Amino acid sequence: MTVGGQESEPTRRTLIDWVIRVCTVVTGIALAGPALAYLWPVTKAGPVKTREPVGDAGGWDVWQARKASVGGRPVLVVRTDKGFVALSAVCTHLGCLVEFDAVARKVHCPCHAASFDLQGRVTGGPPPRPLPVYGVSEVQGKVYVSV
Amino acid sequence: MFGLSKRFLRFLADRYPMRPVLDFFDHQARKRLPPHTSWLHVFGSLSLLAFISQVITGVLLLVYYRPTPQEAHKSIQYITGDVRFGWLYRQIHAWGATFMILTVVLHMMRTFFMGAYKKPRELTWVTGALIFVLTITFGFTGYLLPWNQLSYWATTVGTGIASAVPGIGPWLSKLMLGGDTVGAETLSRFFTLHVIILPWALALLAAVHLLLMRTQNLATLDPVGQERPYPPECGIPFWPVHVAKEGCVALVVLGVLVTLSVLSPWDIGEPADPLKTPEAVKPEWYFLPTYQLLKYFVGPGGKVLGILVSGVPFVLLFLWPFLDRTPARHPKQRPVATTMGVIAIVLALVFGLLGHLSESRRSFFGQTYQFDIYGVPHPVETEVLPGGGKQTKSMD
Repeated sequence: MTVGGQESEPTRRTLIDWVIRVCTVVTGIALAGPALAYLWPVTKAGPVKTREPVGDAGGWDVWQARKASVGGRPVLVVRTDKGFVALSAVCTHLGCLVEFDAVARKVHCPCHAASFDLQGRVTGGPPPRPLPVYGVSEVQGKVYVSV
Repeated sequence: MFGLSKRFLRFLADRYPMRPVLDFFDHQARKRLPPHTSWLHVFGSLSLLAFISQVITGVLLLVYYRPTPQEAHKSIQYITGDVRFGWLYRQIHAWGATFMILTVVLHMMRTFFMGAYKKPRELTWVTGALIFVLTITFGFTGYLLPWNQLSYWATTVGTGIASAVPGIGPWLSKLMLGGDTVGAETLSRFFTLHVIILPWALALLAAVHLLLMRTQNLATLDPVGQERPYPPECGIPFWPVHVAKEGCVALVVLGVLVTLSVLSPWDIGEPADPLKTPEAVKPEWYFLPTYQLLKYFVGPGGKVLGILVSGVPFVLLFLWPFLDRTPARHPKQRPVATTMGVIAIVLALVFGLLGHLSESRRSFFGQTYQFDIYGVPHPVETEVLPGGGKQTKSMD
């Protein structure tokens, strides 16, 4: 505090002022931290994988594709002549859902003409990353996908 | 950090007429409060703090709460069990409701006993009484939202009482319920009231209340018309002295709320079942005195008479500054008003206690009592059966 252009001794009031300010800021931070953690979406994390059935193997033609939701994620499952393949159905470009072209035996995205092979690799168009590939197994006539 | 704010203020002052605004806040901060201002004068700001806390925790809960009968209870379970610190915010909100009602009541009591409602502050009292009514309405509407057994049936009882109001009762009940019984429409209406209508109404009323209070300053204990202006050096500066007091109390209360949230959490309860009424359903503590009082009015016109009688304190509450026109403010110089205030508090405590004890079984000094619906204890005898079991029977 300056008086007549010279610094004067801090008073008890100045001290109380600062104590209140510091306490208010510290309390605000202590309250805001948990609130921000609260607002962060709850997502299942950790090594536990989700494995869900996506259909019966019988009645599933070769080179036929089906879409399913596994663990909340859209998945594209294709029966090939060598077995089943499961890929993420979400295009890595801007998030549109992809389709399977049974004639070309490729996965394509209708939004911006992206194309992927059945290993998820980008074969055309703007996607920056390949499609994630998921584990798939056939047990007692049922097809399971793990994400 | 504070240099930045000064620079920002200078930026604004160069462009906008900031002087009147800054002078107003500076004047309010440095204003001197009457010399008798004490720790009893913190309840007003504590009520405001409680309201702000309820708004913040309420908005957080709104992110995950789902206001439908199918999802409401599950969303509370999700908040409590899955969301990080969800349990904490839910508990602070639940305990905060009790705390807010308590501080508003204590603030009203302080104002009443110090005669601060007298001329020229009658409208400040009336807005305060309205704030009190809104606060308990908050409690009533919020209580249904968890959609557990207690919520459902306490609301059924509360709206049932409303239906007995003379003349408009059935209409009022139907409007509140959105139908004939507590259901999805009731939840929707109570939710709308609780999260939009009541918060805005209370915020507006609180702003008016604060403005009126700040314009006239705190009342002294001098009689009406004989207020002596106190020399500035005798008054207590609002900033930082009184704010420091309020800050201390606020921090302590915040700590108490968090402690209660950890050590004495509210149950989630069982999901509401319209086909199963639990035994001895009772409202929350702030409705217990009225709830218990109504039980004593029996017979054909009993319910209506009970509602009229229980409405009298609320009418008196609003009209009191216009009924009590004596000039004295000091409680010792107003024996009639002070006595009536004390009687009102004692009656509320007695009926509240009777309501709490009614329809319950308690043991005192080795003797078990069953309290009936009027709160009258009846001793019961506990008999030990062959095989170790126990059987109780009334000794009346």
